[in-house]
Amino acid sequence: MMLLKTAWRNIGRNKRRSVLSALAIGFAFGLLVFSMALQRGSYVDMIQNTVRVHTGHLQIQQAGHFPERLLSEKLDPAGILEAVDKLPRVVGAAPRVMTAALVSKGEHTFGAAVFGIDPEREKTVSTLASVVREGAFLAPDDREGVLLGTTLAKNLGAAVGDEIVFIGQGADGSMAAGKLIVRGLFKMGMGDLDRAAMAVHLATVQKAFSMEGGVTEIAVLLDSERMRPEAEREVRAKLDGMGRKDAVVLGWPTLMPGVEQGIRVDWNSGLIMYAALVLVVGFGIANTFLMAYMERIHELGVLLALGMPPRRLSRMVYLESVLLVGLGILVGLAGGVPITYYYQVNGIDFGINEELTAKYGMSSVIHAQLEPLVFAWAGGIVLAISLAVALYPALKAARIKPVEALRHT
Amino acid sequence: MTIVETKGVTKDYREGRTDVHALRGVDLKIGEGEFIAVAGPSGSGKTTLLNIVSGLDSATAGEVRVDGEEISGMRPAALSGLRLRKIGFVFQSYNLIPVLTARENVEFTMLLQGVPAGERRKRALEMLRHVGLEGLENRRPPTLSGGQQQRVAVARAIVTRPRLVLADEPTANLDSETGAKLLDLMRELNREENMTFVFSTHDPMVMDYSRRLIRLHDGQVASDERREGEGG
Repeated sequence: MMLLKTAWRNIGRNKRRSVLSALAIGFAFGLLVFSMALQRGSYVDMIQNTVRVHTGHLQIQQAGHFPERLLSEKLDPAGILEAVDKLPRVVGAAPRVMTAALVSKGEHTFGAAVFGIDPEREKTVSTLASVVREGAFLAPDDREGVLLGTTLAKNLGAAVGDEIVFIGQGADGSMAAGKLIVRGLFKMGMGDLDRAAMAVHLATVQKAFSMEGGVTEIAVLLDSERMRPEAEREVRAKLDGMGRKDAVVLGWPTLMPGVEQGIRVDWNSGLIMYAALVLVVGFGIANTFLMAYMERIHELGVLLALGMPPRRLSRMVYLESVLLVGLGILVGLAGGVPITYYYQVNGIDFGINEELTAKYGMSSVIHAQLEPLVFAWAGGIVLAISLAVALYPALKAARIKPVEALRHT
Repeated sequence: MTIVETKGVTKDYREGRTDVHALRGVDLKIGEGEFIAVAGPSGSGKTTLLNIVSGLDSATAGEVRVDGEEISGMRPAALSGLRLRKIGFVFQSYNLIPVLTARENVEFTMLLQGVPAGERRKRALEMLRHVGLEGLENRRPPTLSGGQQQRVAVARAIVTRPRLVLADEPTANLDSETGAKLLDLMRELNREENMTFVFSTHDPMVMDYSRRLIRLHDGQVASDERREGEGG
């Protein structure tokens, strides 16, 4: 206790220096919390946007359908949609048949991804309806209509009202073919989809591709990504309750591993950048720690003369640095958390490409996300670097030669 | 009983380009309860001798025994332990810990010894009373006079009842009246507690107080004179 008191009072010896050091540590910590929270927040927004375009947060599929995605591994959706709809975290659920076909108009033929959708339900899960640029979205009972990606339409030379044909292979190996009328053109802002995707009424696709009422997936949108693991358990429990052991529940990270990996790479490279930033601050702090040590070499010699073991002396010097670092982190928490929380509630509008982001149903506002992970990493980086640089004077203190220290003025 | 024994102690070091022979074969025996002044001009080796006896510095050659323990070759941690158990220090410039109060400074060595807080406090207050600093226990060193600070330093050195107290020019920064009072105090402790005191000094008053006067010259014992009944 007395050593702690001594260490604490030693910090108070040069108040201005200690305050500046604590502020430097606090600023680094606060900045890290803010930046990391913002980064996590951007992922949340990105995930939200991505799942709204692609997979939904969760998908219910026939066991064995993923990853080969064979049409023959089809799911009987009977009763599942109604059951999932009732779950509290579920915003919407939509059945789909996802397959591929060759699509032709006149002399032009292209390969395309075919989205068999329930127009009404799809609106609750994806942004497809909101990105129709020309024509209109499919009516609930429009069995003959098709929506084309804008680039695909351009390549085919098709416009709203034109007739196109498609040909593919059904679930049973038979030929799937049909004639469709272009009702609208959509632009997702994603090259792949705009160049090679078309959306058709679910019933049409089921019939043409011999799905016999089956679907390849039921996409489920949740109110929040944070609740996904819990919602996944709830959906699973519901399916078990219905005796649907044949159905599996897959989260978007399984369905789109590239997106998750992208987030991980971005986060990890961010961590390296943050560590480099704190390292720069660390050199400044190291200087402070070393100054505080150099000023007191004589006094440390006295403590050795009084019989303080060198290791204990070293621990005392280290304790002072630890207290200063702790103080800095408190300063960082006091400053960084309220500011970050403010931006968690209100978001930061980066104002970049506002028109563009709005066009694709996205937002230019990013909401910071204060998560335990943020505190763990920010605290971990600041602590690791500042406590590592504090080791230097502490180790030097352990090697002081008492007689030389006593001569030091 | 012999508290300190040195045999053929030499100390050589380099200062810039010059070889310095600080001690050249010092043989000494210091018995329990002695009150000794080690005198000599600057550079005669007084402080070096005290430093070697306390293990703060190591001898180039020779043997040093403190309370029967051979200390040459001891590891720094073991030497710290020896000082903590057996040796008290009084420095010329007091060397109190500025951020601690008078009482806390006196408590410090007891803290290192692992004495429980309550007992530490009690003994520190008693010792401060003994050296005449009652009422100043909670003052920090910068607010005390030189004489008061040196009394705190004496209290710190003796509160653990060490076998040996080494005082390096303890009166050098004090006026003669304050210096005399301090020496009276140490003589009293020497008599009451049979504590061994060794001073390095060139203050004639300290020499007058001592019962044994060892004069060093050029790193050698020039004279060793017992002065029973002198001083005080």
